Amino acid sequence: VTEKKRILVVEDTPIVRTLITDVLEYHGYEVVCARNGAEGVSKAAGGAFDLVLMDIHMPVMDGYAALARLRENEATKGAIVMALTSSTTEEDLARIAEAGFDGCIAKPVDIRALPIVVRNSMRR
Amino acid sequence: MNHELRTPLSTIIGFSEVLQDEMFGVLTEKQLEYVGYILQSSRNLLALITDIIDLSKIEADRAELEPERVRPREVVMSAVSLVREKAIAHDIRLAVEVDAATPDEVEADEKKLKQALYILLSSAVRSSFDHGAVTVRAAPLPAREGEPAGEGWLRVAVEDTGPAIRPEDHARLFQPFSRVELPGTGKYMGTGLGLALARMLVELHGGSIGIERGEGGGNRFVFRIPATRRMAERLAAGEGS
Repeated sequence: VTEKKRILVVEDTPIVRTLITDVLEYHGYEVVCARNGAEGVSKAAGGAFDLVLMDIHMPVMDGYAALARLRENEATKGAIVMALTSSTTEEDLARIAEAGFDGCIAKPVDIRALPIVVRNSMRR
Repeated sequence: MNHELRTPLSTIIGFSEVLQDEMFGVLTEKQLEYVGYILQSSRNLLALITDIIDLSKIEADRAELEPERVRPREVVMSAVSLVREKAIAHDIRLAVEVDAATPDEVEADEKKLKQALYILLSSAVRSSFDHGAVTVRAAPLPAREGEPAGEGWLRVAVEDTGPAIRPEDHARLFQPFSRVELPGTGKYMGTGLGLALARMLVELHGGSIGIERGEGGGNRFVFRIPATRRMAERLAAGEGS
């Protein structure tokens, strides 16, 4: 029996968090949630995650700041972190790439495409 | 506004898809039917909201034209390919006629030009009903009297075989949220914003759009845009020939 892959979902909107969590759990992942960047950073440090899905616009600490903290910490600097964002203009995507995200998932999240994107992102 | 409107709606769509995919339990036939309606209506609403946002951006004049050298033939073919599947499903013949004298290139905003043409095409396919025909024609149009002489216009016409819309309804067609009767069918055309959006996209180019009676008795939507930006600027400056 292979162990379940662990995914950390950092997202401030509760209903979106629930949707993503339920879909990922259905597809066999173990999901932990955080409500903002700061909570995400602390939860990421506490557990080995195979993937972090990180919202960009969040209160307390946004996705960019949270990613920077993850990259500073020895325990989390190698984590695969995908941005979740509704702003997908060329400038936004360039900024996301420059910030060091491993990829980007456009919001609204297409729940039928999500499991494929998630699986592929962990393949490297 | 975009984000605020789309997030709740896409959440409705997401959870409905979870139900439809029966991730957490089997649904009865009736429940599946209702979830289907919820999804269909939500997607319609999402499309409408996307249109409203497009329209309001253009109205706020924030939509900037990004003119580049565009090949009219390619724009036409690419817009046609977007409606091909739907046309086949309804056994509607799609024909493209590009006049040999049409310039290889015009200066326009390719995305916006394609969007305007796509709106006309999908409306033509919708109102042609089964077994009809939709014909797209592109041709050059020389400058008319009182217009700056020179490069002239690109004229694009989309003709359908649907019931001819009454002349008194023609002007209203291009207003947002208009509903215009398709005579003899008991049906209406215009889901709200499409044609208004097409008009704005064309006018943004310095062009104009209208509808006339087609040769086959259907409707012919026609728009023209200046072939070059120089021409468009001279038109905007009110220069005559």
